Amino acid sequence: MTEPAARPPVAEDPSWVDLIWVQFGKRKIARGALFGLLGLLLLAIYAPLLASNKPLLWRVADGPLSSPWLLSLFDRNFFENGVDLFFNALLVCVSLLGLPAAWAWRRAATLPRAARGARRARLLLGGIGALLLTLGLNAAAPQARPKEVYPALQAQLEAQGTPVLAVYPPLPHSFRDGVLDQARARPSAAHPLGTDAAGRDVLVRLIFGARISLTIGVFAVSLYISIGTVLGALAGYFGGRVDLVIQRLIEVVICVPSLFLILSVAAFIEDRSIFHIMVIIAAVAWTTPARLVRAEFLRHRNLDFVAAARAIGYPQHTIIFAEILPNTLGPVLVSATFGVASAILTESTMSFLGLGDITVPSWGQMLNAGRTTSEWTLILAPGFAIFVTVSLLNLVGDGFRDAIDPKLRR
Amino acid sequence: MSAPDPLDPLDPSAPLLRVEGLVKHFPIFKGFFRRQVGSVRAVDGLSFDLARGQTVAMVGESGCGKTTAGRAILRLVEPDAGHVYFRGHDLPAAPPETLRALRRHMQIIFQDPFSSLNPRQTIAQIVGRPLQLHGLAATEAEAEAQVKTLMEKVGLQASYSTRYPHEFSGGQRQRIGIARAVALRPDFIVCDEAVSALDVSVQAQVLNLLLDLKEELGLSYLFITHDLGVVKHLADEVVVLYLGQLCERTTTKALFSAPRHPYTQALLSAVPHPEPGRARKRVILRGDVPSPIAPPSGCRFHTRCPLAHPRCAAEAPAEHTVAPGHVVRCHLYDGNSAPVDILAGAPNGGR
Repeated sequence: MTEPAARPPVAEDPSWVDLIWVQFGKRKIARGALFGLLGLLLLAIYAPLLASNKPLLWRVADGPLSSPWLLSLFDRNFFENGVDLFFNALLVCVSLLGLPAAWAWRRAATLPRAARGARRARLLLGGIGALLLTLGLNAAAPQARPKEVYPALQAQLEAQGTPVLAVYPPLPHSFRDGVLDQARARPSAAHPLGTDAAGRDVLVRLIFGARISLTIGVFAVSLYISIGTVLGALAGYFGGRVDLVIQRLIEVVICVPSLFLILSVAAFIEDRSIFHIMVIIAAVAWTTPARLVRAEFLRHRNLDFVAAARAIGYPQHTIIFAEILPNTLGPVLVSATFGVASAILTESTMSFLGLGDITVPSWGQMLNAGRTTSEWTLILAPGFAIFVTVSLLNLVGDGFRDAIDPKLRR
Repeated sequence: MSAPDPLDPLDPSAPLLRVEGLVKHFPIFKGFFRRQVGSVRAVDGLSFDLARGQTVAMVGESGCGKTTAGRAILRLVEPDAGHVYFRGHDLPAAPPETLRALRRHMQIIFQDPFSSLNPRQTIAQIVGRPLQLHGLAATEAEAEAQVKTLMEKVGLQASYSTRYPHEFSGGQRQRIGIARAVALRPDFIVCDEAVSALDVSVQAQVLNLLLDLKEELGLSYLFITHDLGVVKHLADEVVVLYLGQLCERTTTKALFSAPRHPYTQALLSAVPHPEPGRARKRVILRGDVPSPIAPPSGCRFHTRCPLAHPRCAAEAPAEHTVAPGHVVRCHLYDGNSAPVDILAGAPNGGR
């Protein structure tokens, strides 16, 4: 046997995350669905680039060249909703930092494991920091821009004989302000999916609806996964009385028909915003992850590595959250993927029944608006969007579930 | 007995650890109201000393309470009664902060190398984080340097420290478990069947590693095992357990040359001998170990003892000292210290 230092370095085996990722990649349908979701996310982020009634470039006669579109991204009068402002900040960050960040991420793959993890964690933190900075700058920026309707202004100026240079996004319509004399238009070249009762372009609202629906799904699920994980961890680790109380609480919540509860609570809230809706969805859905995490904790808490952690003298919260919890997250993440789909469906149901947030273009709202008309595009378009998104999420969830299951390894 | 600590930590000849009357009963609940209907008497009044730099082996059949005793001493399970004196404290009565600080000085190595390492942590984290917790390394880099030294000490390549447990074999994992235990430079280590999950050639390597580390770091071991070959190889003293109670406690030499308790004699006669064809007298114990939920009356071994007599069923024997440092819990040694041979006098046992 040679000296340990003289041995050639042996290639590292894949870590658990690597294994899951490779397994997931071998499932073609799931991988395709993940790309589909990524596309949906890009669509949501770049929605203003596809559809806006603000010109990307604007010049009147020989005046200065300006970009009302770029300024409108941070205009709290134009984008009233917090969700839209968040996605606009994301748009700026992704456009500026996306490619270098992706390049740095890929380059980190050549590093040894420890350095790679640290590098990627720094990248992630940097990205979040940039996003927060953009949001902060936006909140600090003065907001006093006139609400000009550029297509009308352009028509007026051209009628006076002034030459105007205006470059619009492919769909030069606002998602919010309709043109009333174009209400309920049939699909045409200008409006590929027609317009709704208020004269707003359906395709544009569909694209902006992706922002709302994804936000509701992701935020509601993050909220209830956090609640459920903490309660389930405490119940499973401590057992006894703590478990008894939490278990009874879970049973009480499960016993109440959730749609009934959601609808009655929603009916009591005036000025419902989508944040209320997320909280209501989270309040009834946290029981699933709680029970999953509890079961995983029951399985892990008697394993020797937990006894070892106690013998070392780790404080209890370290044992629960740093030692056991990472081992229980696999099934939770799978249920989260399905949870996003079901949260989107719940929001659509609420909106369809008239208990949603009427100020945002969510797909459920559009469905509800379409129901009162007899235009098939108004009903089928949002219905199809919901169907595609929920299907993609379920396919990805299925793929993750199979990838985590060692019996289904390929 | 009620004094805070009978051991003087400054006296080098005083024992490192003293266990007195340790009891652990696991309650059994039944029915809708979860009434307690009984208890599993896993450990029922165990006492012994562990001297500095010595190895005490605790032996017995499966289910005799060896593992529970080891964990109750470290307070990984809460003992119901008894004292464990260590470093000037009575562990079962120690407040949580004191106990946390004391944990640095007492460690454990587990039987199953597959469940004893956290599958989501790298070796550097498993071995290095305890160092930072107890202030033996100020920074992560310092901990990492110590981890590398430790890994070489237990016979692993230092560059493996960034790997996860699933990338190692059973023997390698057990070495990692040993590195974690010795990392904190403890005074004593409970080895809970530390080698019985490994195959024989690896067993020998790991046992020799444990012996080397003991020499190098001045450790004391409480070695829990059912393998008498291992006991002979490395123990200085032996504690024989049966149904949670002590049968016999003596030096390894005395145990193997002149076992006193009928159970110890039966146990030793069951050890396979490497010399083929040699005719041996064996004692086959009849029946199974009785249930620790309802242990037999009197002496717990009387249902299987070839030398049992009426008194054994009626009265629990006391611990009799038959020679200096040699304790037997058996009525046969009440006022008699000469060995009784189970093979000679066995009415139903000898073959």
